[in-house]
Amino acid sequence: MKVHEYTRIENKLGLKTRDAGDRLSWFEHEGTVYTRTKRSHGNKDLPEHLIRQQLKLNQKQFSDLIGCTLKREHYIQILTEKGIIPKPSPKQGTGTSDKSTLT
Amino acid sequence: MAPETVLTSLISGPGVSDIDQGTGVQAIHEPTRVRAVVEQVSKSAGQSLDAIPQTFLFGGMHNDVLQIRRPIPLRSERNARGISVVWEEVSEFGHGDTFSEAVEDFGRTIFELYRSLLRDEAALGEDLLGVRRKLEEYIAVRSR
Repeated sequence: MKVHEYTRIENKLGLKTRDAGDRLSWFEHEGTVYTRTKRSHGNKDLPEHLIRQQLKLNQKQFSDLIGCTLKREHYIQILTEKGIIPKPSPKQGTGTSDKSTLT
Repeated sequence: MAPETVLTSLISGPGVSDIDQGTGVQAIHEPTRVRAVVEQVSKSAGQSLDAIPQTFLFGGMHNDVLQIRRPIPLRSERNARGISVVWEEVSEFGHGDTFSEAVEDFGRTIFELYRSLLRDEAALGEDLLGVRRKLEEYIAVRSR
């Protein structure tokens, strides 16, 4: 995976990093971090399938993510369908902890 | 095809004669045939005999803060981008041009993952809480 492709994913999903030099990027939704993946260090390419697995996407969904058709809202929907993000409930929050977030 | 199978298929036919049929030792007389055998066996051996271990245990965390509580099982894989070492249980990996680079990268990544998931006590989804529990099984803060 090329660096610019990763950057596109990072921007589309709104992935956050803790410090400038860190390798990990985090996907946060409503104050809770659900998935993480790894940024390219320098200009090195990264193995696409391993990043895809970290983001919990299948091949088609990952291609759509790189190819611009899969947006953040759709990603949230996918994670919700997979049970990674709890389904919204009027009486229950989504997170398991309400402590400070990674950002 | 295994190297020995390649060899068996090549050391028969024209230009090859039995020296001792009892032991199965054979002589290849034609230089081109010899070259073909060597090339084929080398190629086949290169595909099937890799110096990089397919699975191994990671126990060398070069870190002042953290130490390995118990060795982490990793598998390695070659791909077009280089070599990756993967910890399947937590879907984490290290990557580099060489095996050493990949292992080193894995160590740094695990340190960062541990620091982020444990020290900061961030709000985490169930999946990442599982990763945190797994990390605690394998990694501990170094006692000073």
